[in-house]
Amino acid sequence: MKQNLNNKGVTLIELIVSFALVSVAIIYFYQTLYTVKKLYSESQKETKEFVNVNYAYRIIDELNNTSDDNENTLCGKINDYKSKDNNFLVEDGCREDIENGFKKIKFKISGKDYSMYFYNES
Amino acid sequence: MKKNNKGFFLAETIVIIALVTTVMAFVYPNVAKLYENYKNKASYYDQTQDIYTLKTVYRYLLDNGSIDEETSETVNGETLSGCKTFKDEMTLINDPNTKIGGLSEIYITGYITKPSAEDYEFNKYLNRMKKTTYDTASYRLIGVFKNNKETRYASIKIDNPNPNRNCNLGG
Repeated sequence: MKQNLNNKGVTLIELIVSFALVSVAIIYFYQTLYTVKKLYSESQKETKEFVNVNYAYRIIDELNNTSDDNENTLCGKINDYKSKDNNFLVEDGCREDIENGFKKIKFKISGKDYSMYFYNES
Repeated sequence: MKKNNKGFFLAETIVIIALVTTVMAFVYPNVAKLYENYKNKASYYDQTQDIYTLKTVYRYLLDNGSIDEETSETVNGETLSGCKTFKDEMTLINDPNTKIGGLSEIYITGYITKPSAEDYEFNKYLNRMKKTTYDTASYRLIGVFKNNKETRYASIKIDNPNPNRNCNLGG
């Protein structure tokens, strides 16, 4: 039986056009993939930072409302608390100040400066 | 059995690739916007320190009666007095004592039906907040924080009016 074979190939122009289209598709695909990867790694880092900062603020807020026997300042209470809780990542060098009549404390977490204000209700 | 040996035409392949490329061209800008939105949210919106600053300022405002505004208007020669409701529009609270932690403006508002700020970035924040605020009975204290050329926005929900006030939120 004689088989009718199609021996026609593709022209160079067709080949170039298809390569160009595939390249454009790959560029978009890669950029999308890269963006999602960047988003994932940054969000992971920032979520960890957010959890640490949020926890520290919550604890400092509670410490401000508690009184201790030594009549410590808030920075004193923070320094005392640090040894009791490994998740409380406030670094050494807490400072107290007054800004516009509000009590202000400045502290560092992972080398970044944070401040917190307190209002004493009359 | 008769075997079908026909493959795809090159033209068919090119058409499919062109379609995939077009779809990707539409998908990519949306994915890129996702990253921009994420960066805004992670660095400029509702930062922990700003939320705590707003909570402190709210305590101060409640204690000093700055949001206990009474209003009076004259209708047909009759003076009607009542409490400022803050319900329909964003109200700027003018109190120089609240300028702490970079807080430059504070607004109080009810459920926002239409963001009314003139600033484009602020409007973007308000639009996002509008999408996440489903409680039409709630109020919000919104703060604009400015530090070293960067502007951050934060807001806290206020749903516990102080019973000792002359005018509770919402009148």
